[in-house]
Amino acid sequence: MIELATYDLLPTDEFFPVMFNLKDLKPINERFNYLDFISSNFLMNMGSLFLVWLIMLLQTVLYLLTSIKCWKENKCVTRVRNFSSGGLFWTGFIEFLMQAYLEIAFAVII
Amino acid sequence: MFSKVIFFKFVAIIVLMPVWQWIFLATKFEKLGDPYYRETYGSGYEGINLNRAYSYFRPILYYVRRAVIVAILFLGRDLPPGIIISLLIINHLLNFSYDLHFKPIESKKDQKYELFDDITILACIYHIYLFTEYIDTVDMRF
Repeated sequence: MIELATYDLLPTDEFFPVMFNLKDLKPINERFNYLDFISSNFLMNMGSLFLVWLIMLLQTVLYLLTSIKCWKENKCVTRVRNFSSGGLFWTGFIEFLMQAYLEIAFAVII
Repeated sequence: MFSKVIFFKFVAIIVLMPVWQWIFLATKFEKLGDPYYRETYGSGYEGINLNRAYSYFRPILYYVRRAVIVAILFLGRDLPPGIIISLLIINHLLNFSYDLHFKPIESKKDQKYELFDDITILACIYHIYLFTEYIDTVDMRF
């Protein structure tokens, strides 16, 4: 239930320490541990939200790449651009930050 | 190193988001009803009554309330649970009073849902008192 409420749907606790070489992962206290904030590391506390953020950044990069002048005429590139930018600027970012504000604030302050 | 860079970026986002929202609403309040603005920035002020000046505080309060919750839970982590719950109730009551008095939501139906939501959360928080040191007998507490 807590995992669902904190948008932590993927098992990031298992692959983030290996991926980012994170060590000494200890919770602040038992209460925070119970709420699934298992360490004081920011990336670990962000969990799946960090991956969502990365996807949004990738979308932005894709949008910028497909906006290059020499590619603009290409139909396929235009489709990719429309797909990648759909709802991203700026409602997508604002919506993400509004919904995830509590979770991000927790991850930052811990 | 990578972790630290990302961390400071998110610290900046957390601090600047309410400030940006405040500046945006204060400077663009005449244009907020435009379809372009609604489509591009609308999720930041969706549903609020744009005809009332006090409604503009709602998106900012949204962030401030959450920041206060995080501050209470983190800074008061070693305090007795009863005090933490009391602080959460005060925080929630302030927000509830604002919603009740200024009615910042545009649709009356949504306004009622919002108040119902506030009352439900408040009732839930009050129930947590039953599991704290305010109940003397341990058997009764659990």
